[in-house]
Amino acid sequence: MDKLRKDLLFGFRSLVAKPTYSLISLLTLVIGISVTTIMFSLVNSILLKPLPLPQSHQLVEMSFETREQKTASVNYSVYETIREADTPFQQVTFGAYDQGVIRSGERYVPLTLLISSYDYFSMYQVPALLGRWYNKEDLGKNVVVLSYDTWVQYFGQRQDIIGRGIEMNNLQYTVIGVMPAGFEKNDLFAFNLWSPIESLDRPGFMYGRLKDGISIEQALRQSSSINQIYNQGRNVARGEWKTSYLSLKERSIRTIKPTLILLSLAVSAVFLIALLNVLNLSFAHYGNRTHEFSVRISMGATRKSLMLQLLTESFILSLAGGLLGLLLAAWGLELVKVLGADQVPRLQEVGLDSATVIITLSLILIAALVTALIPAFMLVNPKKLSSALQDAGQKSTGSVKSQRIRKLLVSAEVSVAVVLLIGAGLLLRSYTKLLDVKPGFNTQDVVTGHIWLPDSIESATDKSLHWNTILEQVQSNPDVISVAGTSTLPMSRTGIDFDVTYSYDGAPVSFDESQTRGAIRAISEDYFDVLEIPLLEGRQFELQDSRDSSPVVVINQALADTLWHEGSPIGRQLILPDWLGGTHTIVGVVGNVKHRGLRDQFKAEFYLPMSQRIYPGMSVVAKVKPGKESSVLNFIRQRATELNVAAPLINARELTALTQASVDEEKVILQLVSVFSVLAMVLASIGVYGISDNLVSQRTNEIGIRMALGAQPRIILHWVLLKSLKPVFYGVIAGVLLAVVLVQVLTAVLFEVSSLDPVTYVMVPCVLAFVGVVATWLPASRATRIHPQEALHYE
Amino acid sequence: MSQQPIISLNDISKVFYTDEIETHALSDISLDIQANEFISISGPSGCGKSTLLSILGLLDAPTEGSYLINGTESASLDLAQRAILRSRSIGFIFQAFNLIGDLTVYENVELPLTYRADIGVKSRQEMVMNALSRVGMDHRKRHFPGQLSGGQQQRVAIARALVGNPSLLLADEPTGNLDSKNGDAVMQLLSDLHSQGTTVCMVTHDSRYSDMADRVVQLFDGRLVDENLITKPAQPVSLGVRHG
Repeated sequence: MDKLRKDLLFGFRSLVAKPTYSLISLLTLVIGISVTTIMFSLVNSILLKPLPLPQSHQLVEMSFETREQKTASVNYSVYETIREADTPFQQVTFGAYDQGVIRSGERYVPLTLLISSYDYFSMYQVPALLGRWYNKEDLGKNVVVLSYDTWVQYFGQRQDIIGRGIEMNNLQYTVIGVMPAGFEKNDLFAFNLWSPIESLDRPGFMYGRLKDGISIEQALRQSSSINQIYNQGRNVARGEWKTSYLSLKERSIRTIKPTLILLSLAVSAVFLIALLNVLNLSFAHYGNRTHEFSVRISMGATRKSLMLQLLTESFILSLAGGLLGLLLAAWGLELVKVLGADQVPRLQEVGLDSATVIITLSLILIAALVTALIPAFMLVNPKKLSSALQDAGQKSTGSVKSQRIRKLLVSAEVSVAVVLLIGAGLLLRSYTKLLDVKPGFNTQDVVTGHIWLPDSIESATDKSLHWNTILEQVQSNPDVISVAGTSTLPMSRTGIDFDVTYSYDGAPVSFDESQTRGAIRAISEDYFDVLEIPLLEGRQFELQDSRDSSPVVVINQALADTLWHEGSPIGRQLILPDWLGGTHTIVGVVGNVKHRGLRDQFKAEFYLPMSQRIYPGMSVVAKVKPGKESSVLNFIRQRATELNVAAPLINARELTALTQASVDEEKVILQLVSVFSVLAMVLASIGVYGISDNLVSQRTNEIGIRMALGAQPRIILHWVLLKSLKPVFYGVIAGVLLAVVLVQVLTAVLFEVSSLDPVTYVMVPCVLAFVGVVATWLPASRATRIHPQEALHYE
Repeated sequence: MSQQPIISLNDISKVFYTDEIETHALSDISLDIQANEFISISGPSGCGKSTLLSILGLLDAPTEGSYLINGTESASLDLAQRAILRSRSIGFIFQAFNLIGDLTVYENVELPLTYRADIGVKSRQEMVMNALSRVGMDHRKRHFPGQLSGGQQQRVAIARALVGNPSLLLADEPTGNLDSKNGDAVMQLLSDLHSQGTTVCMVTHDSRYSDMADRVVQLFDGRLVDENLITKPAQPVSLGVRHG
């Protein structure tokens, strides 16, 4: 115990005596451990842990697929039949997205509403914070359950809210429950309000809880009754639909999973560099203490006792770095939770739990063992140390083996940094290419927002009247240049967007209709003008294209080129499914538009006039005078609510922002990988600085000899730079070769950039070489100022 | 008319300042060294011998006084010009040999030539081999210093000092780290070099070796206290050369 106390005391003194080494090592460990802890916490909480619901592994999303199609849409009647059938589920529920416009004081606030079967909450088994869930007895009644945020934000956290009436969609509803805080933070339950339904005339989705002991694979084998029910009433001529199940956890994380795996790799690389860096510094630190070790050996110290002493010192450093890293990680996680609140699922579950702390302690232990034992094995050798004692006082240029290992470590650090930087460089090139993509429409000075009509506006005539009125009112604003409506706004996730099969006149007999699919958009007359989508042939929709006139369609260039690359498609017939009006006459061809994001490939699209195809949802797009975006959006917001409080304007924003947002995910990945790459580069440059600084210290005597023999300062400068940059050079070469193999993992996220992009592969080594020169310049210039006479007598 | 001295020191002083304490290492040293002269500087430890040698070798600058080397005032030379002068005109021999451990014997000897732009690769090879052969170490050219005895290391150091045909050879206690046999051999080498026309300035406190010089100057507490002209016997004393 006394020995340990002495080792600890000496360890502290030794670290305090070498503040530069201690501080750089500490900072390096703090950076490495904190980012690794943050990343592990995210991966553990989001990817590894089960959903915070009882028996969550039993919960699945149900979808249906044929050879060509897949859908999660289910009719309420199908759900009801499945609920009563013998299936592998103990419970199934139905839900559909809706909008609930509530009155909060004088304001009408549009909120997301889930209308669901009565058994929705009982399946998840999460108790209400206040009141209760709805059940079978509530069917036919206007009851509503509030999310915690809705209760706090709009009802002042009133404890007497249960049983009180609220106004929603112009109707009176009774609040029967408030869900606990955080429940709605999971994107599966990201609703403000829930209300029960007993029928619905549009499709919804189904979730289910598997029976005890039944896996997804077993459930699939036992789902013949569900398949049969689903296929009844559907046209199965093109193949039967089969059920497909996805666990709710997988559904929740499927978009973030590849990103987190990618970032985990980047963070692992940062930790590896940090570890190599501290190992490198330890080599230098312990290497400079060989004389001390030899004195201890001569006093009777054993190799084991010396190694224990070094391990104690290293442990003190690693523990301090780890604990500070843990603190930084705790703060960093809070920051991540704020920054990623709207983009990352399950983020509210993230925190420093016991698993994360255990991982951090493991990192501390790894750091302590690696940074102490490897140099100790190399340097603490009683045989060599005894000769070192005899040689003490003679000039030395340092242990050649130790120098070689340090150079190797720097090369390794640089190579890992190169891989990360090449990854970041490729992502940057990909991102800039994405930003350069022409979406096919104008985004400047265009504002937009979406309106959902309540179910109370049922008839096509009423819907059409509502849309025409709102468009006329918006057009009356003097700051609005032109306005149009569309069922499907480009770059937006709101609206109607689905593919249908089509045929056309003159199609070959062997034409496989199931292979040809295009996306449907319903638009008002001025839509192409507002978004400046070029009319390539024919005409736009006009007032004459009414509900009573023959069906017309405008197709995009991609479809025209596919079907009629020779000759004009104008006047030809396009045959859509019967429920979409069957045969349509093509009246125009317009330019291609990237609807689902800048990465989207141009695909076949049909534009139908809103007069002939009406939907309950519409996006308003208005071209406005520059600088009038906000005022026009406020104007539309106001008019929409005045026209019908249950149909307010939602998702109001500028189209430029919406287009930018379509590459937000790429931007976040790029930013994070860039941060990790810069960290890696900084850590590697610390390593390069360390090797250069140590070279000058170890070779002060040699520098003096060279100066005495006639070396000019610039020659000494070049000599030190060359010596120090050699491991950088080897590291860059190794890094480039490694990158060729490792950055293949980025292929899926790169846009129009090869994973072997020559620009990146040239730029990154240049940047690294520049950083290397900067890192070695200071010690090298110090070498030129060494006084030759003093250097010759330097020990 | 007398020949211009290769070295001319006039009232040279050197003061070191450490923690506000002035240490006068050299005071009012005036000394001329003629070409082809063998001069020995003697004195007790700390008397300023090595400081004087450093100033002579342009490794250090005097605090006061004038130092002319080949007629050029050293104070007017910048660091680069001093380095050039060292590489072309001055050869150093150190007590601790100061060979570079991870360079071979050949590379150590070649080192001063690599700092000279006026010597091509082929000439360099010839000069290195010639220098090694003069000290009898050409057969060890691929060895590293650590593989040589002290005497052999000092002979390599002498080869390095004379490889560039310097007009002045400065030796700081060249026998200080050697046993008497090796010391004698090194001194014989210096004596031979002198007899071949090299100017030698040697610091030593070994009277046996200082007496081999043409002239001995005595330093005490940084001052020149005595200057003796040695009258040599008709035939130089042969000390022999050992080939290790």
